[in-house]
Amino acid sequence: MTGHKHGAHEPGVTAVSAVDDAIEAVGTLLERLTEARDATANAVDQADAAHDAAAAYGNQEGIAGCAQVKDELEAVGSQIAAVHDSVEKARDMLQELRA
Amino acid sequence: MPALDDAIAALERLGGRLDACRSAGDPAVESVSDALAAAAAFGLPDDVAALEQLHDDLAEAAQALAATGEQTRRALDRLLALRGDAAGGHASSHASRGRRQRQRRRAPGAKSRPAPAPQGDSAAFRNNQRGWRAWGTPGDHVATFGPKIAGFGVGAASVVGLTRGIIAGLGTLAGVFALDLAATVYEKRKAARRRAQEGD
Repeated sequence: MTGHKHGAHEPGVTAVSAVDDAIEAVGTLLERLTEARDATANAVDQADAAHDAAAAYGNQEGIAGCAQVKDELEAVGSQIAAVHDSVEKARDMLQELRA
Repeated sequence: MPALDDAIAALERLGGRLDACRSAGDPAVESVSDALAAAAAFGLPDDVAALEQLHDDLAEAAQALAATGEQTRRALDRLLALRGDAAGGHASSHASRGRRQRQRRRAPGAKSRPAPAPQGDSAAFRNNQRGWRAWGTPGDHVATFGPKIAGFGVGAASVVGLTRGIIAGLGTLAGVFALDLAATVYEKRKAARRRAQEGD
């Protein structure tokens, strides 16, 4: 891990290089969060399609189950979006510190 | 229901993405900790304050991610239960899902695909084994030709024995004829000699 590679207590380590490492690590996290956000949106769509299919078959259990899953996934999507925004702000702050 | 399968697959993908987020989150929090320590060591109070806030935000984000992971797993279990899979058994659900997909793709009555030809050193060994099987192993040849050879040997011995018997029989017959002929000749000579004596 980048943080361990440049330990803060080792001689020759500067605050700038530590911030550079943090920017890189947070950037990677942001990329993963973007993928997770897209995957969540896709999962919501698929749950919606499964709900419609259950409704077409008149499967009450499927209708209720898929509706619940869809609600949960929408909640997950909101949380991931919030985390994404938070991490994006963190990256911006790190970049300001670096500048 | 294909739509349910697709939804389950989407949730499995999402679970993988969230795992990747958690894996990326730990280094991010640690690197901000390192930057915080470095800023403190260099006496940068403004940076320290900003980085402390950043560290707290990222730690909170990591907790939120863990919660979303749990929520996604519960949603996946719910869909698996709807499909009839055992809830919670992710490994077995992956396996059974793959099995169902293969069964769906395979036309009714279609034979399963033959195994692909092996490659590499072990492939050479197995191909060699296959070659033996195609041509026949030494054991197969013994099993196949052994009785034939034995039968041939018995047959040949029988022919030889029969021939010898015939020859012996013919010899005996010849001997009998010879004895009979000799007896006949003797009798005729004896009779001729008696007639000659009576004539004298």
